[in-house]
Amino acid sequence: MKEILAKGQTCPIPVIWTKNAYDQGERHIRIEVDNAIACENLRRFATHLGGSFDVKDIDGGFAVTLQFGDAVECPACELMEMPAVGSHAVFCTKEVLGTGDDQLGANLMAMFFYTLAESDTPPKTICLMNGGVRLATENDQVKAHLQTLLDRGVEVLVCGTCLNFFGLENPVGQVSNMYEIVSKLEQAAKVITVS
Amino acid sequence: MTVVTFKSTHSAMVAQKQLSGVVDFVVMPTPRQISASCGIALKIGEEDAQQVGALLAKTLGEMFAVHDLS
Repeated sequence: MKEILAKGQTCPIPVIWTKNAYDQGERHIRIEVDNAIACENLRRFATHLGGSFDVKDIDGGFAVTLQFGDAVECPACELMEMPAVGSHAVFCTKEVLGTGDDQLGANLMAMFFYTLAESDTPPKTICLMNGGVRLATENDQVKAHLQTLLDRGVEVLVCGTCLNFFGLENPVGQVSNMYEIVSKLEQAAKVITVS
Repeated sequence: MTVVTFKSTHSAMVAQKQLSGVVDFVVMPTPRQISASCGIALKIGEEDAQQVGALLAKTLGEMFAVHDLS
């Protein structure tokens, strides 16, 4: 088993080191990291390549164990081929863009997410709250754009409280909470608010 | 890529109502290389271009255009 000590390393370093080990033929890899984000990205890495993922708490962090089968033939991880995402966040709190006319606003919102999905530098994070969660659950066009953004490595966070309020479920993206969303907005280089 | 553009925003919205459930389309900003009065465009399948053109011609007359950008 390959051991990787990545405590103190922020993403994407733990994933890059793990991918390097994978590319060198390692199929059983144990990585020590000290933050939950690295754990999540390693889980995504393993899932992407059809591997198993296990995490245990250790002193000062986490021990992640990944196990891959030999059947995986393509070592080129698409994670590494994804276009780079930006350092900004998009915070969207409505299902229509702007005020004036909702039909026009719905069109503008669809066009906004279409353009984001086509952008050379998509945001690092998209946070959806209040009526914005409808975009990730009920709006087929925007859902397709959000899926494209997810596939490109963008993090899509959907307010769980808001989903619950509207009686919605199974959004495109990750169900999240106020703590995580505020944290992501605070960490972003800039925040584009769509309201 | 096949794109339908419009001379007015109103026409773009009428077209969406007319095409909903008939052909698949994606609302997108009018591509920069196309000059149109309205910023709303619809991306459609190349195979649907003829049908869309015929349908919209009945209601929109010359208020729209179909572009093949492939």
